[in-house]
Amino acid sequence: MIYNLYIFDRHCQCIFYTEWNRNRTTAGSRAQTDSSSLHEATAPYVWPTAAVAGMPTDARDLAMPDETKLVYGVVFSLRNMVSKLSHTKESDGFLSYRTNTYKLHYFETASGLKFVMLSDPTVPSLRDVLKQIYYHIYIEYVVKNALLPHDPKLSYPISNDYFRAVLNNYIKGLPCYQS
Amino acid sequence: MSHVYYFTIVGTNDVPLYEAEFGMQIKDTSLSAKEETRYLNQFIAHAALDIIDEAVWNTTDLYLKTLDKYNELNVSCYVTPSNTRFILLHENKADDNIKTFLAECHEFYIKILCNPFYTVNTPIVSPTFEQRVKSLARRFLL
Amino acid sequence: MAKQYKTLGEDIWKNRVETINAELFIFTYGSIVAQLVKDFEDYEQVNKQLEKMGYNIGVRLIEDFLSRSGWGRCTDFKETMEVISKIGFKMFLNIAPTVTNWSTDSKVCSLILDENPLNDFVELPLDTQHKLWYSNILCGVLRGALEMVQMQIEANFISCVLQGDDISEIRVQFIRHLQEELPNADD
Repeated sequence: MIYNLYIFDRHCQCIFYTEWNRNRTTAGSRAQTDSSSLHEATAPYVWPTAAVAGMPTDARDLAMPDETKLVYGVVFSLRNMVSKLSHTKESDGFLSYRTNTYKLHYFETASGLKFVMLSDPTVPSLRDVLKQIYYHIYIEYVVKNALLPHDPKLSYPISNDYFRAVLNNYIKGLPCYQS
Repeated sequence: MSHVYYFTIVGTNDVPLYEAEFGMQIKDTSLSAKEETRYLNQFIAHAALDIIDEAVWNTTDLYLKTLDKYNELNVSCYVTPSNTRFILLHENKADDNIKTFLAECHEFYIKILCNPFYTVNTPIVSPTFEQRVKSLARRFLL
Repeated sequence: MAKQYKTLGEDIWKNRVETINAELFIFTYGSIVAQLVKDFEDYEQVNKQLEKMGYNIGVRLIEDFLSRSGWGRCTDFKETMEVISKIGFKMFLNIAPTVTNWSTDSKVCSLILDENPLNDFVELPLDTQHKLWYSNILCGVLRGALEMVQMQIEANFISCVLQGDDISEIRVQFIRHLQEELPNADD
């Protein structure tokens, strides 16, 4: 089961967040296994561009900005620690880590984008899924959209409806989406 | 034997874009005489424009053959689909060489049009074009 | 190693790139440059504008490059330049400039463009002698693309066949590695 996706840009900012199958309150910490009570909105909650839609923010333990900072801090530190420990220079960061309630998948591009996805612990590696999102959804609908601003010195939250829709369809089509 | 040629390209608004003379040095009697032929050539070419305008409707060919005659000078013409006119004044009879010369000039003219810095219907100042036309003239006319 | 880049570049060019009509591309670029020349009436300015436009292209293009090539990080600047030439230029322009004239500290090198599709049909106006770098957009693309992978560089044309030079040469200078940004301290 896939819980949510964070995308961070080069400036450590979360430029996109969305979630699926999620009715708990913080990132992965209290995942419920009972899928019957799942919050099934057709358009999933996204952040930061459409913070009003979907789940009310007071249903969370952490406000969204704090949550994203926390997640960024975790993957950033973990990535640095992992590459310090690795023997070869060419470290690809880490692939995922797992707790008894969730699994965090990580993919970082050479241009400094970080994709983080949370799923339940039984899901196999989602690294390829994250790559697909980068190659075929992020690049196609965000980078190649010439009308979206793209100044590398600034952060731009992804506000593109196509991106959201395509991403949503892609994730819902995955075999591990709700298993 | 050598002949004298006068070649000009006339833009769609009847303004000359390019002029060249080939084989002129043979008749280099005096400067004023040379000047005079020059003006006369321009005059003949200009007079031919009306005839060309009528002749283009009689054929689908770009090459219109010899259309006019002034004294011993024949006026041959080649009109591009965009109505740029290549006019050649020559003393000898029009033959395949003249046709090829004009058609090749058309090719080079297209290359000129492809240059982003060239504006349509402005004089052609490119030295490369000048060179190419000169060498064409040597090959086919002189 | 160099052979491997070349094969990969050719493979991508053949199988993973959509192509467009060359004339359409050449005329589009040509009319942009000609219009800039008309608008600014100053070749220095035109060079600058082209570089800026290139930069904006580069910062996007690098993502496309990374995705199509599947290339990860390069270990040093030398490898980067080889990859740019054999894979990058090949992928987007179907040319592979020669990387040469390395400085002793391996920070400055030259890209020799044996051919340059942008140049086709172009004859510069006579008064541009060594002032207008017609393909200056390429310099911007290099700077933009490399900035996104944490390398600050500077690229400049030092000769161009359109100016009557024997070769077209872009001098590329490595300035520094950009540091990854750290999260704010208050976390």
